Amino acid sequence: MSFTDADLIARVLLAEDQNAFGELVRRYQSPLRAFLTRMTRGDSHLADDLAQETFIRAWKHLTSFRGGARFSSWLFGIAVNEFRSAARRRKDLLLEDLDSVPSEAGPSSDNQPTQARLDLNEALLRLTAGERAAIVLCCQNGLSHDEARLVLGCPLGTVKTNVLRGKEKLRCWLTK
Amino acid sequence: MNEQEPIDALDLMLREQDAYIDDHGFTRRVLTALPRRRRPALRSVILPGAIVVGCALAAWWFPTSEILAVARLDFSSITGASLSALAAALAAIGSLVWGALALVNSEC
Repeated sequence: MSFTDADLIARVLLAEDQNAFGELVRRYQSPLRAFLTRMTRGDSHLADDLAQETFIRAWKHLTSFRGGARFSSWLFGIAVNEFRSAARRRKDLLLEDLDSVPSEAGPSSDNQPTQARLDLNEALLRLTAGERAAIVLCCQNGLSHDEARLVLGCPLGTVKTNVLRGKEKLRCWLTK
Repeated sequence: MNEQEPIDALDLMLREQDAYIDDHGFTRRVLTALPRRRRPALRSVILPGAIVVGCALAAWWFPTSEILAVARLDFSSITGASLSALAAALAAIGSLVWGALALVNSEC
């Protein structure tokens, strides 16, 4: 029998059921760690540390989860905050803020790849942090633009622009 | 429709690339690191309750006349008992402030 997220959350809140929380961790560890690995530009150790902190924070503050949003969106929101905190400590992580909109410059400007063709992994790393976050959340994890807006704490237009520009750059780099 | 083709192909690539990451003990590490959960309901009763009790005690025992005597520099009316009452009142006020700060911290 498989429990829904809401069932598991209720068991955690009512009975402090660590096994129920463990099931939630098992369900979401992969997308969360993958997201954070992308955001940390491939530093899987740091990503795992941030993912662990994300789940611990979720455990501490589970009472504040209102159930209006998906549990996964709520977790991604905590993960983004953990990433921002880490980025404040380590300047190499974040070259620009997640909610910034890149200038009009397209894929043929400064951060143009040197080789003719990149693989997707490499191309994703070349996007700005905001574009990468929006692409990974919306295109890889299936969040709507509105959910991504809540997770990233930025205007809807910024998310849409980052997804569009990010995809445009990826297409250009991958098909060149 | 051709215009849409690269977008669809890119979406597909992005989804395919999002491979499952094996747990490899991650869940166990998280569960081991979990702190005891706070009991917000209990805290939210205890701390305001302590503040209310502190306020009541401070109001009941606060040596208003002795304080006024000190303010008037009328030291003859100050006794040892009233000084100890003053000390107790100051302790009650301190506890009150401490309780209020603890409550604010617990809600952050």
